Amino acid sequence: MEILSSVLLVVLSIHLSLYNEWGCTNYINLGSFLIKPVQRVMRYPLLLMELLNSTPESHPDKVPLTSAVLAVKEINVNINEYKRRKDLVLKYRKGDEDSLMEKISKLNIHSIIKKSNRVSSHLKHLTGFAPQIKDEVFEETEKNFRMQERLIKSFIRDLSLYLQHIRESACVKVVAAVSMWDVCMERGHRDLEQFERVHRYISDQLFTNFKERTERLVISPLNQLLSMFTGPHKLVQKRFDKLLDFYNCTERAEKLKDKKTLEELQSARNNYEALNAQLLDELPKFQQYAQGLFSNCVHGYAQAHSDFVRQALEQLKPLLSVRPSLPVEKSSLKFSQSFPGRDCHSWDLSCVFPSFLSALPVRGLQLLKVAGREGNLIAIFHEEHSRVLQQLQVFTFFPESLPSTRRPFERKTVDRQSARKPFLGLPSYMLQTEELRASLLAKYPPEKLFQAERNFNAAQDLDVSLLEGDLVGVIKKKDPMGSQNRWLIDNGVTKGFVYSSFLRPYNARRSHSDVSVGSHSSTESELSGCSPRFPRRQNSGGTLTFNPGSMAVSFSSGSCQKQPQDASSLKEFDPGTLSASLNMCNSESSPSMCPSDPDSPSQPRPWDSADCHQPAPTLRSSRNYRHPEMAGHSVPGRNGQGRDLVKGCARKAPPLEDSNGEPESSEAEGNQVSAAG
Amino acid sequence: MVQAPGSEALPLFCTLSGRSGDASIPFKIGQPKKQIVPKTVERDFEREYGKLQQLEEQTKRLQKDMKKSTDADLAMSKSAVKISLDLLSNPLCEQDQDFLNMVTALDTAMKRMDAFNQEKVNQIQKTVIEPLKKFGSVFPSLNMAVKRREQALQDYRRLQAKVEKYEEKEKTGPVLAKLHQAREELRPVRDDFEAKNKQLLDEMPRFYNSRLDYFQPSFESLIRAQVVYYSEMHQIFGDLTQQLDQPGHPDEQRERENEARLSELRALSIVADD
Repeated sequence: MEILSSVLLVVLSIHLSLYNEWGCTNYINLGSFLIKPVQRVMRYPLLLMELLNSTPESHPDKVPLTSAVLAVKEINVNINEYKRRKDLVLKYRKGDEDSLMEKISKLNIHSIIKKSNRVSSHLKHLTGFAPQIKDEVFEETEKNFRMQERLIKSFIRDLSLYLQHIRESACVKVVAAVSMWDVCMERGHRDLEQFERVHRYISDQLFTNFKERTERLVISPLNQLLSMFTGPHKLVQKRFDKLLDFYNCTERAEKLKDKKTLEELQSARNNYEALNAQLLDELPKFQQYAQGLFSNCVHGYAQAHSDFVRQALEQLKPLLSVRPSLPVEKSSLKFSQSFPGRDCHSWDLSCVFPSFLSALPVRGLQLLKVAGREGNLIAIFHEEHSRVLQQLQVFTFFPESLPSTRRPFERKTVDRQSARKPFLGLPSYMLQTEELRASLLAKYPPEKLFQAERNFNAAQDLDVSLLEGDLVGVIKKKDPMGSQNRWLIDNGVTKGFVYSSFLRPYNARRSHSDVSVGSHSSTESELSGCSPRFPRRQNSGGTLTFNPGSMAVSFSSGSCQKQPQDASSLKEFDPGTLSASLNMCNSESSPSMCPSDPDSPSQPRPWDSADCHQPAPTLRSSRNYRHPEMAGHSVPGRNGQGRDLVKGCARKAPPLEDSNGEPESSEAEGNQVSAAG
Repeated sequence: MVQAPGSEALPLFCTLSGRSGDASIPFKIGQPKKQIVPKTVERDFEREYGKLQQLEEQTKRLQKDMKKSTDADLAMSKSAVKISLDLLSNPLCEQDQDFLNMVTALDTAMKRMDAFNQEKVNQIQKTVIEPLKKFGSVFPSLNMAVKRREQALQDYRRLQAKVEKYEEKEKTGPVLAKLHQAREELRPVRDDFEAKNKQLLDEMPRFYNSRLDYFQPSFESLIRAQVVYYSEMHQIFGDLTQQLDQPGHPDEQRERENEARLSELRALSIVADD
């Protein structure tokens, strides 16, 4: 080993001496190699200069040679400039990372003077004394730069929040599934167990995957991007400082004009311009790359989310599978929900999962029976629900008056009425199916979505009949004659005209708090022996609760508060919900309802009068409390309402232009109250 | 627990039995205490009633949980809409058409998701939460019925005790008359109690068992609403990925592209390379 190294050393020294002889001393170390290109570039001008000098004037190459010399010199200048800028940028981009102590220690007369100069210069600019230097282009670039940062920050923040919410939602669903299991316990546990398991899977596995993917594809890169913004920020700041310096120097130079000041001026100018140029050059690039990255991230997010949803759907779909044990439902084994404009989601699970289904033992009581029905979810539910409700009613302790979970008056009227006479006016009108509603929701933006407050029978040629609760999209808010009261709407099946007074803006968001249940209609009907009603998708909630024990009628849930006139009595009411619902008093309110409201003769508030108007209980009692049982309770109930409006419906029902305040509300109330009773 | 009236200072173990003459002496071996309500029946009653009380609590809890679930869903979709809203409000969007298209597509998707979420919450509200409330409303009246039975029981006991008291007195004329009268009083009360008891004992288990039937439509609707919602979501996001470029790129590819961009950025001199 040592022999080898010694041999190597000897050889090296021989080489060196040889090279020394030949005059190539600097071929050995790396530095000499690296400096070669630099030297070469610098030699070109010299070479060309020599050539130029030895070229006679008359030579054709003289002119090109001159320009060649200039070009080559410019190359060098550019290189120098670039290097200078880069050095400047590198120097300043790190910015103030010193601690306070270090900063203080760095203070000296020079820096203090510099900083104070800058401050005064800045103030001068702000107050307008000095000529404004506006580099438009730079301003624009800088603004974009800042906007971009804001964009990315907000995106990250919102996305993180959204992910949190999803997780929360998924967790809560699991909890609810467990609760549901608790309630039902012993029986039917297989389905519930599966339900719980599915949700747990979604919450634990699928969501975690989704979150992690989003982290990887979106949040992490964007965070890295955000961290890169600091460098340019500092440089922008520095550029501004240099600009101020430049101005200072300019001002001083105008006064002093000595060599030193002029030198300072020149260097200040150089600094500023170098920084400015570099920023102008690179900031747009930065933006472009950042934009590209952001777009990438958004795509990744969309993909991850899409996959998450798909997987969740795959998990949930089997829950709807129909058990083969119920012969009645065999015919509905194949069901498909087709949404217009899309592929048919054909859930023929019996074909897809034959083994799965056959493996299920026949159970005496299947939890999920008719899963394969098409159409309106709520309609189906109500049918079933009314049936089971009837079962419950055999129990003697079942309250005769079920808390009506709907808006007190209008619905009941309708239900009552419809219970009594089937919709003769609309024999061919089908209930708006889920798909239609979905397609309408998809087609029209929220501000164009309206809901029918009550049934509208087509009268004129191009009118469209609507059922209460139907969703429509408004195409135009006027009719061909120019009238603003008749709107061109699309109800998913046809387009036609409807009077605007029948429509109310649809805001599904508010409806969640509404306690309106279509089922109330079924309850009503059951109690009055009527057939189940069409589900109402109204949002409004007035819950007239009847406490069987105390036989008191209390109104719980905001309903009819809207009109300021009724403020006195309706202060506690949540605005709108009920009123909205109340306005549904369609067909049956007696005409006297309107006049019964002394405060607002002109205001069409049948609903107000209907349920909230305490000052006129007598009027009501005579009309509304048809049912003898309720006779005694109606007044206290009415009075109670004012007090009891509690939860709920935070919907602000817009005052109904529907001035034909259907006096049907009285009937409605009557029904409602009676139902309760 | 059905509590027997403790108004008289009877020893505890005597509470369920009728009053006998020397009931005040504990542990005396005498004739078995007369009980108007057999112990087994009482136990059954307590058990059934206990189950129902538990059911009531569970129903309430489920209701709360469902409400929380719907609230969480709504918060979720609200924050989703906020994402795209914030993006759109940034002036940077207007500069680049492609970028604007992308953000608009995202916005549309989020808004549609919000709409369907609302629908879902609506549906759940109507088909699950409402029925739950209705179901829960039964319990107060059930409690009333139980109380009334209890009252009847007390009346029954009281009158029974009275009859027994008269029976043990010497049979004189007025005593016999009073005895007869007491017996007459007792009879309807006893019948009433028996009827109430029987009815409740009969119906309570049935009610308990019927809860499954009752909840089945709700449960089904819940699942269905969720499936519908997720189908819609699937569609929405499918559309979204179609509209944006590069659908279906594998994750590694995306990550690579991201890294490439980041390196490009770092290569810029203005970016601090810590």
